[in-house]
Amino acid sequence: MVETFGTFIEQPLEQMEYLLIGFSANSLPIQQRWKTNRLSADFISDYLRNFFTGIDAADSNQDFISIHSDNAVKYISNELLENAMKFHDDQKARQTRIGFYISGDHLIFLLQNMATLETTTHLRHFIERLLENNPYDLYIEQMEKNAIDESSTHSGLGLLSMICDYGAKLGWQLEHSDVEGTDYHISTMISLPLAVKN
Amino acid sequence: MDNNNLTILHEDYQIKFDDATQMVFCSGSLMLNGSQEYEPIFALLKDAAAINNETALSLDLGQLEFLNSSGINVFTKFVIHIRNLKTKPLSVIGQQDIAWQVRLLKNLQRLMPSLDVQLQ
Repeated sequence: MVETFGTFIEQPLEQMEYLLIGFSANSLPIQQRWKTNRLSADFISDYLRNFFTGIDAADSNQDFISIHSDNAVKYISNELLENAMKFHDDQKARQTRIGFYISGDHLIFLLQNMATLETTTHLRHFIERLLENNPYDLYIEQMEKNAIDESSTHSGLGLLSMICDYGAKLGWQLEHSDVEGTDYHISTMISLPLAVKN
Repeated sequence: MDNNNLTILHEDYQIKFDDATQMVFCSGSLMLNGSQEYEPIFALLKDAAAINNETALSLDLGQLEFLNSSGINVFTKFVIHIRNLKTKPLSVIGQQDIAWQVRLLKNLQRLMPSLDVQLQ
């Protein structure tokens, strides 16, 4: 069974211009792999920047950081890479894939990874809260919560910052990946407008 | 407290407290993994704020090139810490032409309305 939440574009992404990065999350210790994030995020940012040339910035709205601004693509790429490493189920051999797609007027980031039931349940709760509340209220609430909860290791701010600071649309597909239904194949999609719509 | 220890020099980032100006300078790229790796930076910020209890402190983020969400978390936690002290004035400095810095400072001010935001 596949469940879809939020803004998830289902048209075949391979027909677009794209860049795919795959890695096996358990082939290197996380401390060592973490160091590759900067290289990967810099490369993705430089690569995608070529496709922005000649496209007017969509974001005349001062409420959000424009995806055309310095470090915007790098920030989102890096957050996805970090999430892929933090939340991947290390017991699974299946690769984590991160794809970057240009659809003409949208830039789409797609993270596909395996996750345990526990991680998926946590994500499901996050999605429910996100769909029922004002994201900016949740963002501020999470900051306040982190200031009180000294034990929390993950800030929980990454996805919320993409929505609240960059105006990104988020969507998910959750799919059972085995007969027991204890493992999930998770697709996280982040989409941002690239061009001005006339 | 030994003020000379309030410096973190790393090949990717630098955090320095200057006692004379009561200013914490942050530069480089902060891409550490989670709260645990950020703990020394958070501790430095809190120690700098504790040196002269009610003297205004400035936090200069203008030379920061990159900040991940765990890094955002450190600065939001620090601003909430200062807000809760109730007696410590705090200024945060960023660059007007760096969009993410403008946005970060706006978010910090939302957490602490009395925060002095300086965009240069």
